[in-house]
Amino acid sequence: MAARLKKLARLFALYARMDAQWFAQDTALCLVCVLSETLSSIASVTAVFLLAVRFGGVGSMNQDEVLFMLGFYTLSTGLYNLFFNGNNTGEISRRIGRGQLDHCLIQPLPLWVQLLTEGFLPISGCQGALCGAIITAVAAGRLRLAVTLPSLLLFLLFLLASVGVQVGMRYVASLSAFTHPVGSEEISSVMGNFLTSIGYYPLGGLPHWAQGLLVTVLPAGCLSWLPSMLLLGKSPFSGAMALYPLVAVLVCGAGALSFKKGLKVYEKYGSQRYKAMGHRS
Amino acid sequence: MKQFFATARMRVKESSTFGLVNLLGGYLLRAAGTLAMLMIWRQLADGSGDLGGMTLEQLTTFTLLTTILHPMLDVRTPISSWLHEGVLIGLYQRPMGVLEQLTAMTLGGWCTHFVLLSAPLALLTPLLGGFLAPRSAWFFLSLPLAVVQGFCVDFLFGCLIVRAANMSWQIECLRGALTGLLTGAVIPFALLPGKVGQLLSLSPLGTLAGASLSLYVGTGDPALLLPAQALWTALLLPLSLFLFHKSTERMMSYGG
Amino acid sequence: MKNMARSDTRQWDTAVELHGVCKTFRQKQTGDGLPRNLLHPVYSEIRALDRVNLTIYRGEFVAYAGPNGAGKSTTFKLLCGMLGADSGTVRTCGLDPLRRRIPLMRQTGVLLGSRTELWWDHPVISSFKWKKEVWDIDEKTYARQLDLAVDMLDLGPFLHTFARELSLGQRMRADLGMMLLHDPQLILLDEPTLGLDVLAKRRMIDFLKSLHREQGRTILVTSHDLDDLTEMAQRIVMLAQGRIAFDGSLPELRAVAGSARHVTVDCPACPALPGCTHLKSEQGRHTFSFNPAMLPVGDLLAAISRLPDVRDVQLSDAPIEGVIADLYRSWKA
Repeated sequence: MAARLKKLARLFALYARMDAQWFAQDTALCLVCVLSETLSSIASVTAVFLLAVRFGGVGSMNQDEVLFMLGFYTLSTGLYNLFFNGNNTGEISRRIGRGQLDHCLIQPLPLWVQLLTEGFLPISGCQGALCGAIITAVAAGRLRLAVTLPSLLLFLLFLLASVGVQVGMRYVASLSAFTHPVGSEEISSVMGNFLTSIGYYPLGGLPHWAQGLLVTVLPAGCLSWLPSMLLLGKSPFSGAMALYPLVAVLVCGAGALSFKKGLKVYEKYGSQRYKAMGHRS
Repeated sequence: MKQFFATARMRVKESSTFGLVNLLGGYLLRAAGTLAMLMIWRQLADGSGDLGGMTLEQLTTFTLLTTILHPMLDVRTPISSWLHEGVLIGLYQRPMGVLEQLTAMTLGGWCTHFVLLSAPLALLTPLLGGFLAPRSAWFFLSLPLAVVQGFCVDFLFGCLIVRAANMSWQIECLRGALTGLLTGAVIPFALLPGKVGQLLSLSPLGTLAGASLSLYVGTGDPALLLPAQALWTALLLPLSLFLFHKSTERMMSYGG
Repeated sequence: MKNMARSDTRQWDTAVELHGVCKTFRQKQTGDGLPRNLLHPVYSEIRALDRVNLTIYRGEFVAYAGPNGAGKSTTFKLLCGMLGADSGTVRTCGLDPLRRRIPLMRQTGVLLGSRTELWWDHPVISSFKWKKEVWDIDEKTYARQLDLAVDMLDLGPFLHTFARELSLGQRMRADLGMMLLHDPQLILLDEPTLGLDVLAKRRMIDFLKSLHREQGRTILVTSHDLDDLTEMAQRIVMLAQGRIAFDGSLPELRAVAGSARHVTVDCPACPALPGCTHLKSEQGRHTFSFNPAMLPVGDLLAAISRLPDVRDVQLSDAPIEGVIADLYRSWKA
């Protein structure tokens, strides 16, 4: 166990070094990287914030609470980018569909170790998380939220759950890429787009059945709405505090099982296709 | 025209080989996203009653149209993937104009979207609280202008990606985020506070989706939007063609 | 993890063992009809390997050849644990590749010619350092293997160049160098000379030969270039339609293919040579094939000596490419 953790730490350090080297290739690249990541993060939540300003809040959340939720969303998607955006480890259907799992299979490491570490981009991919942290901090200040150790731990646990939902759902969707590599090459990003395009809306005014659907089967509401409501002490329905981590665990488990099942298919049929696009670049 | 349709047909066939179940998976998720948006508008309407001068019916139609016409309002040609897939070198080896081929491939790529998502959603529009007939006939002039402008914007982003070969991913991300905010496709400009919406609606990105959609639902002013669209198209068309030809050598030298 | 790896690097004498291995794939067939493509896609079954038996011992240099679609890459993927066999057993370095993939990869080097393991947006040396970490290569081995690769493959001039800026030949050399860093005992090379120019190909072949001769590595290599393969390997295994159609040395291959020889006669007019088949005539040089078993060389030369105006005579083996092409044709028939 200790050896495995040490190995994980060494691999994270390795990918951090490689990311820093890539980032430092030229100044223009650095600037565009920082600028595009920052603008992307802010632009994606600006529209909802403007809605909140225009209507003095949305769906049982006032303007500052919406800002808090958007901060949480930006932080969560930023952390996803930080840990899973490199080398398509999050957009796993691309690797599967393009026949690039073969590259993983010739490495003397368990696949989960490779997929957990290869996407780590602490330098070029941290802008979203930083923006998210700043927005969340500003919103927390405006809401005068008391920051205690338990609340901070809960915040971190919910962040982990939110990132887990994003990764898990992408892996669940990617199961089809094992059997239909061409048609499903982009299925993980389609799933990601669905989650992120709904994930930053306050869902408070939706009918209960719709809320239930969006925090379980298609858990876009688990990205930021449900955890923010819970952190703000406005639990939208009874049992939500227990349901949220449970959904995250179930989604992650389903993602892992789907991938394992897909590997069995891969073992039987392999990949009839190979496309170098996006591989180690 | 025979060559054009043959190329477009190849693109349609290519998508058809993906299998219905695979194609439907992606489209169902998009449809689910659209339905969730409709519910969000409904909650806004219930909460404040004021939707920036729009009725709920107009807002519903606006959002449904965004999904139904998505490929036309956010044109994506294969040029963006030139670097990785070697698309362009192949295009130069055929006895047909490069831009013509890119257009044919793009239009062919729209077919599955129209058949599998747009058509069912259009049929459902009245049931979901929207309307099918455009409120302004100017929409039929605005949409082709938006498509041409969309091609120009895509070629310009393509040229930018060619210029910054190492940053294609970053540029794609940035484009995705800006498109969501500035084209008015996700949230109608009418819902934005103050003068923000008005200013954005006349910008080169704002006229891409926002103009046609607002004319369709009857909230846009054709006297303002159509000249803006025409102006941006007149500016962007020569600029994109000029920059595309300027970038050709670089495209060919660095992978095609 | 390290302990497990050590316990699995035990000695083995048989590098590759395939016993009755079968492997079938499904392939989607598409037609013109869109509705059919969408609703009822049709699949056909491709038998990639059909009861294949193959044993390769430690220290052998084996060429693995066959026409397109014969099952060469499938064999490689089975040996690496990327695919599982439908039936039969597969052992690589004494291990079950599917179950023991990780320890197997510590002692196996795999290079698939059309794919690169290099990190595209990094200098070559960064990819090497990446491999050192991922494979847990100790300093001593890394330094030794790096020196070997740099020296023999002449990697020095582009060790600090970005992978994306390398020529194909340089990329292949860098990939080969990277493959060797963990000092693999078994080396699997799929089309390593693909697309290389004459000089780059020569360098690659010399390197592989010296790796086998001086370091005693077991090498299994595929290529479509039969001249390359026969120059490198002592043993040739040929696959056809998923079955091993030939397993032996180059002289044995020639014997199987028919011991045809060529004779080229340099004279103004194309002569008639009984027992010979005319192949071509170019600028007064006329080439014929003959079977020495049917027409002894002495009799042939005597017949040529009686011809008027003969300036030169040349006897040679039939080119291996032609021999193999005849074999492929006969297998297809």
